[in-house]
Amino acid sequence: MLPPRHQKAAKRALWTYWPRRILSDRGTVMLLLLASVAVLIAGLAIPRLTDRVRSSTFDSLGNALGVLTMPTQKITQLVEHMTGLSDMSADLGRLREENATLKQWYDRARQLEAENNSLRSLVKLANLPRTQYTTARVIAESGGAFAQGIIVDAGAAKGIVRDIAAMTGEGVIGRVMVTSDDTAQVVLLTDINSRIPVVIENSRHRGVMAGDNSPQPVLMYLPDDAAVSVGERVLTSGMGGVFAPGLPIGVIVSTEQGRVRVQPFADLRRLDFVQLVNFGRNTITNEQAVAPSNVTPNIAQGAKP
Amino acid sequence: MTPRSDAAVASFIRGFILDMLPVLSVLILAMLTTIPIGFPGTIRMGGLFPLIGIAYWTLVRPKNILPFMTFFIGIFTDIMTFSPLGLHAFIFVLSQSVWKRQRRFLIGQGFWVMWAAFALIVLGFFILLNGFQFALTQAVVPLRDTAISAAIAWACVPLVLWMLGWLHDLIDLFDEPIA
Repeated sequence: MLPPRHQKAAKRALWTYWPRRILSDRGTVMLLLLASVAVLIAGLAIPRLTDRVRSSTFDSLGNALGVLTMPTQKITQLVEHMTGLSDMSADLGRLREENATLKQWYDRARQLEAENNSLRSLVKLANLPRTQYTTARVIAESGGAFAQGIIVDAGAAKGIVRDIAAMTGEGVIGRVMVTSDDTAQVVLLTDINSRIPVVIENSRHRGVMAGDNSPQPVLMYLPDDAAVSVGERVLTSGMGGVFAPGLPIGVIVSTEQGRVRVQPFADLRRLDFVQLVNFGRNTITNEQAVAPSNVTPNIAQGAKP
Repeated sequence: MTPRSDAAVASFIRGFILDMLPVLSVLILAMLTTIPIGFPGTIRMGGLFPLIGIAYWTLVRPKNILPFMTFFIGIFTDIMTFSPLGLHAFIFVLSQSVWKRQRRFLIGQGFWVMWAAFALIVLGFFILLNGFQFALTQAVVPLRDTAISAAIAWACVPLVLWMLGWLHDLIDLFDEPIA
């Protein structure tokens, strides 16, 4: 127990006395509600400000979030490992078959690549820009209903710039929206702000894939006479110059009520690691320079099938 | 410094840290919402867990979770959940204000009454959140997913309350009574 004089001093202390009297009034609640609305309006009017605040916060919390995320990822991996053990023998047979088929495709791809290179040189076609891949770990995801996005632990320091593609082994998952020094915010395909120029693989109809915060984005601006059927693959068209053409995105799963919905190949709910792919053709945003020269690709060059 | 003033400073610092623990616990709950768990579809908890924390501390230690702190917790939650800045701040300050008026009734009630009361918090939160979402993006979250989100959140309430209760006991243990 403190002596009475110090008890009085503690009572009068800045922290324990006047803020409680002033900041717990009903008027304060009204003021704070008005302040919330003001911040909301300011944030919607100046989205860049929101992005900056968010990216600097995630930059500061990067390590803490990494620590919080790690146990969950480990548990998820363990559960997947345990559940996968029972299917192991069946998987082994299937993988052997797939491996044999892929070897044939590999030989065929090598032949086609050589043929492609010789034809390119024959017609003097400009070489494709150098592609840079950076692998990054997912440290946070949007837990809210407003946006579908993730935060990865690679930022401007590793040469990540705005508008480059984010992929997994299965296909495109979104694009980088905001970068800070050590983190980057990736907007997923399913986000309501996501718009990606696409092409339907067989019919070659072009359109735009738009997210609507549902798990299956919608295809928009297809030609009126476009005959689209369920099961067709959707690829990036390369229009706009952000994504390289031909990257796999997903497969058409429904065409009900004139709305063509696409199921992404990648499982957007379970993203542990992603590749940020800079195709060196950022034409939409020219605010930031493309990756500095000292950035070395983490993964072997060449787009995935 | 005299030994007496040393004791006063140490007491003040300890009091400050103990006073801040409730807010820190709510901030950690806000950070936990960003962990990639992989819920299917549009099942999202948003800033519900920090709100449960705010509601709990408003009941047991209202002086440690003042409205202006709730406001900043809301802004932090907005950042963490990629929501428009100010949205969770509005919901949290409003919810806390309403919740505080029921404090006299709720304090000392049994577990089942408390759990039922938290069901109202969960319900109110999702109604407000989905209302704002529709107003701002014109996107409707499927009712089924909203119901599942609310059910998961409500089922998690006892766990969150148990953890916060443990922290409350810890604060009580170290808190020095001041006359």
